[in-house]
Amino acid sequence: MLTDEKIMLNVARGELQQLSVLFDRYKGPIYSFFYRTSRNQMLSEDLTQNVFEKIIKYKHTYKDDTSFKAWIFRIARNVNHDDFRKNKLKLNRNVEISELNIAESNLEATEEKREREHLLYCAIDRLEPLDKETLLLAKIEKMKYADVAKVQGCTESAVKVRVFRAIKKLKEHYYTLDH
Amino acid sequence: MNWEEKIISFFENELDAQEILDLQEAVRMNEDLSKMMDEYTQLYESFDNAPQVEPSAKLQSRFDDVLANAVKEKSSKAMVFNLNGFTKVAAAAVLIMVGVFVGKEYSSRQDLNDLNDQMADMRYDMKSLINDESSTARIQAVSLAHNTQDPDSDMINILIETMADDKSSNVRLAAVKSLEKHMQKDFVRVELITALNNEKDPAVLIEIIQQLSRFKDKEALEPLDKLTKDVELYKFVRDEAHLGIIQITST
Repeated sequence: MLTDEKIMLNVARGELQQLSVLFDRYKGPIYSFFYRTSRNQMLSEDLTQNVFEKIIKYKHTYKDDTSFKAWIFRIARNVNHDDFRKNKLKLNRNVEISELNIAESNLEATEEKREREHLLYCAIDRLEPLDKETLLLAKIEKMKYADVAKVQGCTESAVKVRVFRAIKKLKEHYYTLDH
Repeated sequence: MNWEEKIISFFENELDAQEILDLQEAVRMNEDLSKMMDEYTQLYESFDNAPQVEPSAKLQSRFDDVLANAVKEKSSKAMVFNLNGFTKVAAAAVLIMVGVFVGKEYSSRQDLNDLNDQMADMRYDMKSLINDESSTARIQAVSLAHNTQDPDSDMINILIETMADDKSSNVRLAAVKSLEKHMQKDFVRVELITALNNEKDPAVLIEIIQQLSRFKDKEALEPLDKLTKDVELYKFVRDEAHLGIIQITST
């Protein structure tokens, strides 16, 4: 199987059709990143499309020693920030998790599991934006700390500090909401 | 580091063996720590059990449109460049040919070691993916063939069938580009010439014209002439066909 990086290099050289493969691999994670931040399906789809439009526009800036995952999430982060600035939306929107957006495979989850999921996202919503973003990338999207550091433009150590801080706060919120 | 930080470090795999033993002992002896350990266990489990969220099918079709437009725009820009004069056309053609040659050489060298080992897997993957409903999967199948050092005739035939019959213009375009590596084979050029008569998508048509022109295949002259007179085609496609004729007949 071709790596993301190799495919992106082909795209950068003009093989635009191959972007379809990367779209297939990353539409879910990128949409998920926006959706878990905004809880807004339409907005998240618009922003996901925006990310791929930017990839087409700035494909020539991709360097062959760059992790594609870190690169695309960095674009997603910038798109998210631009949207926030333009619309002056608060990142913590008090919107319930849409049942419609949960993948079909999860429809059979137990009620208790669903409540736990709901609780987790309510607790994440209460975090500061940077802590929230760090947790979403590192724990929900399972990105390596080195890649999160590239996305956030900081050191890996700084990411570890943020993760520790965010998890402590998350636990407080999680069990406060639970009682 | 306090006990809470040690518990988080445990879940982050930051503790050595002795520290883990110390923590386990402390948790066993202290009820509050035990409760805290349970709470963090549940929290970390909830990360692993986070549900997948999926975009709607509309996102896929919107992306397909964006990509199709980008591909067409790229073809149109190349066309505008070509129309600025014969000198530029010649220079551009040379640059493209050199670029393709250098690109092929670079790509071939880089891929050789990896692909020899993966050849069998790639053939299998290609045959599975090419029948997938998703155009993305079918493009992936074409990419596999494109990156295979020495594809067998089965793989080339699949590329030809894809070029001729696939419902997605993006997939057909990818197949045409992949076939360029096999232009020295007569039957490939015959199929490309046949496609000249049948293909309706401008981006795909332009790619076929350019490939046959670069190869100076005189068998393409008659269908190209037919294209220059087809008023149902975009003007830039007719112009490309005209340039193709010039390129093929020039010495």
